[in-house]
Amino acid sequence: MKHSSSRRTTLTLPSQCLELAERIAKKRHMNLSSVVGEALNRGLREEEQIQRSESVLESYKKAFAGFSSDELLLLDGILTEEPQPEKAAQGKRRVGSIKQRVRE
Amino acid sequence: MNPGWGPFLFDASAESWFARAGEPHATDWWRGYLQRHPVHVSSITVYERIRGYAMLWRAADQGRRPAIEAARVAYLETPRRVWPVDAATAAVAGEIAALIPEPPTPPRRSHRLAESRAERLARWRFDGLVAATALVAAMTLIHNNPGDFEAIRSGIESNPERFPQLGPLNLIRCRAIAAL
Repeated sequence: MKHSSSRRTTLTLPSQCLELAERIAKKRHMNLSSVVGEALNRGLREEEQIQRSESVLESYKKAFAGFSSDELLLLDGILTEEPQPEKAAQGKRRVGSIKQRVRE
Repeated sequence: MNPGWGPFLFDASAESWFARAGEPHATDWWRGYLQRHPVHVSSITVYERIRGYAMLWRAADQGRRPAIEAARVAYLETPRRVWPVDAATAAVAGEIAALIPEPPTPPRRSHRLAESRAERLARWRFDGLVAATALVAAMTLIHNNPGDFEAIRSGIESNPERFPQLGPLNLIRCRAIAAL
């Protein structure tokens, strides 16, 4: 089994955490360094996951920011024709002239 | 639904819906999901998306093009797991297309745009490919398109002999997650 390398360092920890770690070490017949190392490893992995997910969230926000609802339909592949405001305005004008002719 | 039960496959509209979701439940669920799993999509979703960006870019004036390009790059740089349309997926999609050749819902219309019959048929076939990807990958499909995907689900349920060792097609609608 491959062991990860260790380094000796000095840390200042909250006394409450240290007391809890000592109690766990005693109960599990482990040394204090192993207990603190395991807890730190779990916490840091969780933090890494949170940071990764926040960065994905940000990328997604950038990918879909600033688009109208019609443009989003285009981005979702639901409508496959680019929005053309002029076309819509022309359509309204055509409808207007038809209504006028009907009245005449 | 617990996001830890994933990973899930997201269709194009589900992916963008969560990215823009305003409901607190949906945002919390999305954040919780991303902490545990990557977003899984079909390569068809990437195709639809990039085609959309390209069409918007072509229609945009020079001043807006850099913003559209930045959004496209942000989309491509977002880490996700993309499932290919391999032989198995293509075979299942072919069965779906033969089972339900016509789209179950009419072409979409918005206040400015209308989908042609040909475009609707193409989108229906893409939906079949996305559903086939979910079946082959044995993943629940998160979607925002009940009209199409529910028709595929019930078609598969009524014809299990054409989909041996696959299915059922599990579906969850975005809004159902937001409502939890």
